[in-house]
Amino acid sequence: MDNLLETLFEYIYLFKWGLITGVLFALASSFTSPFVILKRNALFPHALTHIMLLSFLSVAVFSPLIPVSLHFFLILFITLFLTYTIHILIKGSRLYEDTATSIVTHLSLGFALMLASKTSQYDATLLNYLFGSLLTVEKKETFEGLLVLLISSASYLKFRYLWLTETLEREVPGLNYGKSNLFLLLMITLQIMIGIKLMGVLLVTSFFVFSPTLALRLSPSFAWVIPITGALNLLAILGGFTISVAFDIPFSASAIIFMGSYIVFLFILGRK
Amino acid sequence: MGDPQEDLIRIEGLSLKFDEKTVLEDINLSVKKGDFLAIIGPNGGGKSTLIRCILGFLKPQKGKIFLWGKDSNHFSEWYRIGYVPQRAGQNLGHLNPMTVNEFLQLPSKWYRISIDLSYLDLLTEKFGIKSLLRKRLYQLSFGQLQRTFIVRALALKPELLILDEPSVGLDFMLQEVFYKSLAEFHKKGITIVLITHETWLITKEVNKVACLNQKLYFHGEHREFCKLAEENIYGFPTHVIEHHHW
Repeated sequence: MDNLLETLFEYIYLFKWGLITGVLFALASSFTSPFVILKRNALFPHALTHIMLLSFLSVAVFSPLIPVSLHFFLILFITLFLTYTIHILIKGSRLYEDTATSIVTHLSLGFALMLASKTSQYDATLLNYLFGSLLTVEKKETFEGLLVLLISSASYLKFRYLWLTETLEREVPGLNYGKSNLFLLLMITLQIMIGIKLMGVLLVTSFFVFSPTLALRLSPSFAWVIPITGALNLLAILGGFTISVAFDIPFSASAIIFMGSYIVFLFILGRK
Repeated sequence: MGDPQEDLIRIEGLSLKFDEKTVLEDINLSVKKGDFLAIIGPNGGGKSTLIRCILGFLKPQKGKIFLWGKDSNHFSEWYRIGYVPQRAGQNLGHLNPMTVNEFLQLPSKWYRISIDLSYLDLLTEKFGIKSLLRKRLYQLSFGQLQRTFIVRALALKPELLILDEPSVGLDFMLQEVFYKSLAEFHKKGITIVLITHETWLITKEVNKVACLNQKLYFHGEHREFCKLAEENIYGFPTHVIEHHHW
């Protein structure tokens, strides 16, 4: 036990930027994730990560030609643009939302793989993007995480009633969901951009599913949902880190395994 | 007090098509302050579509809508309208933990207007949902949910109440209470637009009737409507039984 604690503290120091960023990501995502579940669109953030992988690789391929300071904004712009194509497909081709999302997701992944295989990005860097690594997180990303947390909380305070109402009613006199939806998309994109370094493209959206779902079941009213989601996400970061150190397995996998325990509670609550 | 004949809603030459199908054709209609208007017509006749145009959810291809004299495209005082949608609460999922109390407070958050809590308390008592305030919305029966939507529509003391088939899901006793309450609110000065395709619901409290089936076949006084009802106002023969709840 003493040995584990000693190792844990050593690793906390080693992974401090990754852990702090994880905490910031856990809190930031709690402001948006419950709305994703309530909109019955839990797979949307997952689709977004695939689109983002294409954005990352596109920027990586052309990185020698683009100033580093523009990378972040370029990734954000390409991701939002490709996400908008889902909307264009829905309107233009009259597809169901999940069908259009699936089409864009698969196309993005296909193009991403093509870019990766034709460039030097098809290596450990890609592996880190796919599954994440606490070690790769730097001080700069922690500050970005703090910024995303602040923007997420401000957006939540401004749009929370619109985000919530849309889960109940599509049409309310005088309410226009266009702007609030754009902000929800923007916040989720920014949060995923922060979380990808820790959890990887394939697993980052687990924070948008497990914790908010349990929080929605546990909360006596909506007012409790965000604090409980934040607490469960924080627990997942710390629990995942402990399992990762104790059993020497990747952090992202450990966090998922920890959040898997939430399913037991969901099952118990579901039988009530 | 404003002009008693003030038009709260004025519709001029409104037409709407979905794809190539005409849903509404050249509708001209006005709702004056103090009216209790029943919009009736067969299923698919365009009643709800007309309301969705008035409330800005649909943009008609032709025509104009004015609310309190302002073009509805530029209207911003939506708190003056209470609205109960058709099949209210059908999107409600069992994961949503929103309580009845939180739900009733939503309009004050949307429109950033303070809510009169003592008035809300009276409403919850009147419509029999006071004991449900801490319950989650999804735990309510359909009838309880319908009454919750009605209370929410009244919470900000609207000048105009628009109800789209509000009595669906209410049992006979509750329908009695509901229509009595509606008449009371009308007497207190609230203008009401009630959509229904159940002509037997047109009570003595309704003072105007609009009969819609793509086109506006009739718009006028209730008494006049009763006289004409035996004729062919829908475009096919109908028989109206006038029914008084109280």
